[in-house]
Amino acid sequence: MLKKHRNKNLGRAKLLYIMLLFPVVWYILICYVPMFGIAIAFQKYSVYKGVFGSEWVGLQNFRKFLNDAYFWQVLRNTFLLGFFNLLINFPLPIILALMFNELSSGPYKRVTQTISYLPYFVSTVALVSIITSILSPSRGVVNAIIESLGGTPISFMLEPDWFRPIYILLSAWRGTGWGTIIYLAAMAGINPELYQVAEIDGAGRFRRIWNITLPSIAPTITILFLLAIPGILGADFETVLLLQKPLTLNVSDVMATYVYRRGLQDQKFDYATAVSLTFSIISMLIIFVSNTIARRKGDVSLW
Amino acid sequence: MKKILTILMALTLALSLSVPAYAESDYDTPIEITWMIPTQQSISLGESVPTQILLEKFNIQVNWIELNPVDQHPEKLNLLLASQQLPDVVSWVDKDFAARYGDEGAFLEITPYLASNFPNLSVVVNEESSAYYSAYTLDDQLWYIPIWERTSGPNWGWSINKEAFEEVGYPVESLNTFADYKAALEALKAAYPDSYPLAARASEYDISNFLSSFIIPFTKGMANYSVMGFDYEQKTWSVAANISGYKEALMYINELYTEGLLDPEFLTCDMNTLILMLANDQAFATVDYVGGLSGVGDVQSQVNDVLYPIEWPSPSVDEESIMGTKAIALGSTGTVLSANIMDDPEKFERVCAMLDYMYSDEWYDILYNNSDILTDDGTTYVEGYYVDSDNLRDLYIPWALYACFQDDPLRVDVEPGTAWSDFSIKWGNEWTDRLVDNIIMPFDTDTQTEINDLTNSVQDYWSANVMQFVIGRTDFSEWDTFVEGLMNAGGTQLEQIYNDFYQELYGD
Repeated sequence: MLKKHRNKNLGRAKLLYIMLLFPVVWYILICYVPMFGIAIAFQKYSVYKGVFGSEWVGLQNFRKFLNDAYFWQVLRNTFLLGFFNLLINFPLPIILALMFNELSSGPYKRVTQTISYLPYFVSTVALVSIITSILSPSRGVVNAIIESLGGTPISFMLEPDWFRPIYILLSAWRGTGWGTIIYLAAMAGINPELYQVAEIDGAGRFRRIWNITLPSIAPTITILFLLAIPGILGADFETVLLLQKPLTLNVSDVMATYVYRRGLQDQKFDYATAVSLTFSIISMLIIFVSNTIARRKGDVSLW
Repeated sequence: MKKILTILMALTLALSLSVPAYAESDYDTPIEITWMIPTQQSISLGESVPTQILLEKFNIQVNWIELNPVDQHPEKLNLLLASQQLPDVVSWVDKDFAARYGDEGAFLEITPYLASNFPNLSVVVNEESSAYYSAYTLDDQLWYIPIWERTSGPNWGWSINKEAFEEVGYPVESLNTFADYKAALEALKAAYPDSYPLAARASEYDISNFLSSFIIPFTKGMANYSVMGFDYEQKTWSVAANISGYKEALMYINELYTEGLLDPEFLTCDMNTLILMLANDQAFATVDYVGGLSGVGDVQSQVNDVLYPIEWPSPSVDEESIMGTKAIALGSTGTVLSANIMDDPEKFERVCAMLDYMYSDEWYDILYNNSDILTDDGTTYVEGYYVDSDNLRDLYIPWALYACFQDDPLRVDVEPGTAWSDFSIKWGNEWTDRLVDNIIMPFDTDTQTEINDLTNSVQDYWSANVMQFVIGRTDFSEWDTFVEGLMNAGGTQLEQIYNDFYQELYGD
């Protein structure tokens, strides 16, 4: 009986399963099958001999970077950049979404939202060029303001202390508007009667946000936070590479640029794979731990 | 009868006119090959006149894989190696790469075929015997067909606004030493207080090239941008920062920077900004890549033609000292043959003949003495070489064909009598008594791998710290600490490896 019931369901959902087939096959072929390339991390890899022909060297590549003093500096840079980026840029889209939600519908709201999305579509190269011009000590508007206030121009792009703030600012400029979309979609699902009742009870704007809006979108925030946490170890490679200067290397050299330099430029694919694999494992552990905590503390978790 | 003879003669004439001058092929049967070659052409390499002559002579049809030499070429080569679908011929491969993958069976070893299939190249190799190890491995294996650089010179140099320098009392003839240059820059700063007389575009080129323009003359040729340098007086290798003159070079640049003579934004400056500065009297000199194809020569007209390239030797510590090392005549890169080419003996023979031909005097004439572009005084003038009409240059002197085989850049001149032409002609051709021989160190693959790992560590430390001295963020009193850091990062091991190897190969 149960089997018959299941077959009936299957028949009804046949088209849906066929639709599902293509992305599943794509994921298997593009994401899972190439995973066997992880073996490169344990080999003295030759591009010509390939994975099946290269010599196995065990953990030699892992030992190499664990013994490299410079690697630990790169790890520190990666973690700090990712941590501060998450700390500052995760709440920003939420705050902006709350502000947009408080606007009454109309052309002003639509125009403002659209303008906030636009930086997302500008290429990273263009954004970095713009920010370089803005921060230029001799030609930039920021230093012009500093000079007009009696200060000394600052070479922002060459100061290690300014690398992280500039990176975070650029990420905020680019991603905040775009990030509001999911939160606004979640807020659109809140029952408007809740706000009406709260208003009748005398709740002000901020009280309504605190007691109604935020709790309603809490599951969304939790899920997105869990997805964002592994990004602590994955700085945006393109942005870092473009912002990076020799003088800021002590602070700006992160895992992505380190792997690019050693792996692609120096053609040490085995070493680069070992480093990437290690970081991937760490990211996976972070997401496991976070998800476990989230599941125990609340009802919301990724799995 | 007369009519028939006339028609026959007319046909013969028509036929002869339709066939290019050198197009009598030595081979009846056409063959087809795949050839991967780096190009920077505005037209397809196959459309170039010398290419057509070459391929018609050997009756070869080529499926070209043309790629930018800087990034696309190495990436594509790795992909082809991984797929084991190598082209028959691959140009622009360095010796270590050729040896490494040749050992693994990807490329054909040339050594057994050199005398029989490459007679012209054999003569070249014998003539350039001092450069033996620049092409051969330590085990006397030749894995590629090496470039032969018949003439060469520095790629980086000073270019100045000659009129501005003369205006402040410093004509070109007076500029010999670094002290002369500094005095001139100071005079320019006094005359144009809002300017930064010396500008550079380090954001587009690795800072190493800019620094080398100072390091090489200050160390009298013992060091450049590389991690290691060779003291030809002591006959020892050491970490470059340890060599006399290296610190002084950085101190000089630091002085220019702190005194406002060097653009403080040179580390973030790009070509467009540099052009604006030079065109608008905000800068009057630059240290840059002087050649065509993305060098300052290419953008002359955009800076209102103000730039004058300083001839070799450019500034030095004094007027007598060594300025650098001679270029290695053989093998900075080369052409490899796929090991699979031996599956088709006729193809192998034909390709060898064609590649060997490119070392002959006859080919030299085709490439460099084409009568269509030869001037009355016998120089090759490609109109608008630096600025306009790329098509004309690429049509007659395709970069790939001269840069990959018989390389004689001094033959590829701009309009005779111009400053750039004078520069090109003297570029490395004179004052060779102020150059020392390059020391070739033919490490085996495993040693080279070890050196590369150590060099990466040292290079990382160097990159993060050296500019701190230049812009004054770190005082030069901490130089010894910096050098100690380099040694701890791998410099000590590198010195050991280099000196042991040098003693073994060249020692008494």
